[in-house]
Amino acid sequence: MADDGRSGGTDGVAREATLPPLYGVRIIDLTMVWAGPYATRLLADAGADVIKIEGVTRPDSIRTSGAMALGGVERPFDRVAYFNEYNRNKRGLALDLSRPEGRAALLRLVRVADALIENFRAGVLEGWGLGPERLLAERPDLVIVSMPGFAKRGSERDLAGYGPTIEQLGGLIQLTGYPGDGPEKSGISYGDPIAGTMAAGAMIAALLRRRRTGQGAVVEVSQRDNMLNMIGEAVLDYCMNRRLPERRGNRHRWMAPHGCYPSLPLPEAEGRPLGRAGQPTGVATDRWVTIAVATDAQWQALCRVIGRPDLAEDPRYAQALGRYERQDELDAIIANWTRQRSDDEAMTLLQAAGVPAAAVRTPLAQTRDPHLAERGFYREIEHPVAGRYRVAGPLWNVSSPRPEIVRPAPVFGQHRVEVLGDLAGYDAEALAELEREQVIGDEPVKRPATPAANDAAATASPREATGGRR
Amino acid sequence: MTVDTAWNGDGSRLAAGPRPGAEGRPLAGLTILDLTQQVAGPYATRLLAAYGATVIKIERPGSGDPARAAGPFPGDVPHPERSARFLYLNTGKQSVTLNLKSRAGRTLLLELAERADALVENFPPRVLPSLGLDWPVLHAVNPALVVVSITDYGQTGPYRDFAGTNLTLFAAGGQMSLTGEPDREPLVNGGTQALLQAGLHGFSATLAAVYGAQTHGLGTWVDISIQEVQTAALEGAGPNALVNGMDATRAGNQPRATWGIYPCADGFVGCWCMDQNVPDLFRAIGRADLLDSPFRDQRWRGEHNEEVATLLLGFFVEHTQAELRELGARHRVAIGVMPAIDELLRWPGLLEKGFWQEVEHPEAGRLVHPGPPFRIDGGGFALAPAPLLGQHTEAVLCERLGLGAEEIADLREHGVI
Repeated sequence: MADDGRSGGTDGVAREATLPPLYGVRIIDLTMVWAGPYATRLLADAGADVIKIEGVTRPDSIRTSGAMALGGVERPFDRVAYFNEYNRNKRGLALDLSRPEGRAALLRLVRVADALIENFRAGVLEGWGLGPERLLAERPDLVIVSMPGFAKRGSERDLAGYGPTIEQLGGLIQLTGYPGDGPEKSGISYGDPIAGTMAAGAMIAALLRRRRTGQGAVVEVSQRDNMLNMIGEAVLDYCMNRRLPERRGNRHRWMAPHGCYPSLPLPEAEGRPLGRAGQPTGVATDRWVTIAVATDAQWQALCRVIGRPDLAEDPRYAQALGRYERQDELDAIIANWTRQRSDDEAMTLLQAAGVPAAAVRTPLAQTRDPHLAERGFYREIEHPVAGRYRVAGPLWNVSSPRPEIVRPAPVFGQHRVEVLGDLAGYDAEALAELEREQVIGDEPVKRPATPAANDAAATASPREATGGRR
Repeated sequence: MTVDTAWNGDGSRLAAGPRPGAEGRPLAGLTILDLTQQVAGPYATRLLAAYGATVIKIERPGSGDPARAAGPFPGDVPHPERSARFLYLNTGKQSVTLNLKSRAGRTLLLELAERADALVENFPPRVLPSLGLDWPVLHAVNPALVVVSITDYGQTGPYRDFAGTNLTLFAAGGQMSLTGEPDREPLVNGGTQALLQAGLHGFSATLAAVYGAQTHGLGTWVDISIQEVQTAALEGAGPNALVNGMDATRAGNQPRATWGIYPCADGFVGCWCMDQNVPDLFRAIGRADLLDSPFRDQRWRGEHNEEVATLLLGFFVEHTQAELRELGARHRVAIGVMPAIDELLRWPGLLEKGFWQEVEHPEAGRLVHPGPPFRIDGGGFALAPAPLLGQHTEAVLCERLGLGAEEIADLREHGVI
């Protein structure tokens, strides 16, 4: 194929791809919460056919926790913004895997799939008779991706892997914090998106190998091991110097000044509403701007911008070491300037002079960012229950064809007929039987769960549901 | 989206092979032309090399990748072959020095691009066009080539040419606004997380685009923005802002009493309990009596957060990290210690799977690196030392492009390599 492409280009007219990179790849997605759905969001945005399978009695817990907060609306579990963001571009159905009919349907889908991804607790799939051997017996060249918090076997098999646990046992948390204070957690469940991004790459790596060798694969992405790869430089520093990383707050090893400075707050009336739909928790008016001076020339420029040419001429500050040693006094001078203007104004003035600076964008401010707007980053989408809303766009902006959001997140159980009918060969009668027996359905069913299903459940309260599945 | 039922995009169904062993890396056979430097790009190509791709890193003659000057260094003595940042991020790559500003250097690069599967770069957007090496040129010499560009703010838009560092980009991406204590300034994550997140996307996106190029016979240019990568990972707060028009702010180390970091007798301990874990938490702290009290009720706990936090703090400060770790394990709740790097290097769960990998480097000696973030059939990952500056220049140009000793000497004389 590559040779065809090359000969096509020799006439000097380079053609453009007309189909997305993962077009034709079918993925069965058994993941929930954030890390796994983040992986399949990336794959779906790149054109893969992702079929998300939830439990009839066990919807993705992001649906249930979010629905609780929405109160008495119709189908609240289809209106959860958090769920609808990360599950767009996927098809979805609900299948009761705790029952033999449900497992049989899954195995039929496995036969027509290229890959399967899951983030159940260790042993849950095996308990249902759906371990790797069984799946590979159905489809020998299947790529199976698991995302344990720590390991699928060994002493850490049963260790719960919520987002902060991964960050904590993956070493990052010891690096983050205000100077002189203790470790500080990330504002997001940082382990989740990085595990998801790695899992997406791991799956494609295995698919590339399959294309070359015909082999299926059992892939294990350890979320903690992945996190440790994000602190490699500090590990090598320790090996070299037996030195543990120091918590520096927003300061840098050698750049100075380097910090986060207060800006003019918003007027109270224009404050940012905090909380969630129907649950306001207050209003915030604080604004901040970050500034990082990497070179002596940038220091000179900064002095001009803040109207302090005297500092630019002061030999004590001319070089990084001198500035580093006098950071406290420089920070006070800079803060005095930043306090008098908005975060955006400070950023714009400093950037115009070539000084690295950026406003600390909040999630809401980000939705109004002129740069992201110009890039067309946010995309509008129409959802059959939730209506029109905006989502963050694809991140792998391939030049051709432009990646699009071609479908909203599935409503619960939405594609059961087309998926099981078209792909797994169920006729109308068989589908009706499954529906009657509540093996499939379009609404979550409350039924005493089997022990295995109970074990797999990841019920989470709204703010808590930020962690990985495990 | 309608998708046909072909296993592979080209409609072929590949035969199932024998079950593979631990050896044999998944990306064997791929050639990556690596024009990256510093952190974000090199992290992408480090992963590609570790999983078996041949990565040819192009460096500026003389000084090479600026990460060689970044450190940290052994004994804090700068040395271009002993920078921890460089040594970590460039394992398993080949280093070729090439002056891309010279006509001959550009020609050699295009010849290498003709024979590569992907080119990965993280120059500011204006650099490659100024060298006459932008996407249309690369696409014309090799239509199947994938080009992946990782930049601060992407290839378009008003901030395109903004200056950025890890700190300012962590702010621009939105994650910083959620990190830190509510009554203090927002806080940047430790290390260079804004850059590494984008590098990780660079790895996965390169593979996706190469997969597509193999399917369609046509490469694409992938534009990855460090800002966007974080903006798309604001957890529930991102969609909440987009859909409900409401914001979030820093929640600090204790968003909730049962979900936070506490001081303990000899350091700090994390306590991460969802509602269903709370009974086990109470048992772990010897307060099973609370199971029949209002403390069991999630809503009540929400309204009496201080009371719950005081209860937990009182127990934690009386116990050591080791005691709390044991209690957490026994009661299966996520009460955990915060191991520093020295403890992680002897962490049983990591040792038993042979996670840490020692790499011997001719100039820097033996250093321990983090091992595989993922394993394929138990393996598929291997590390080799980072290259010395220009270590593979001759070998690559001779073997790949068929240059002779005389031509090499000539290029050297003219400062091209």
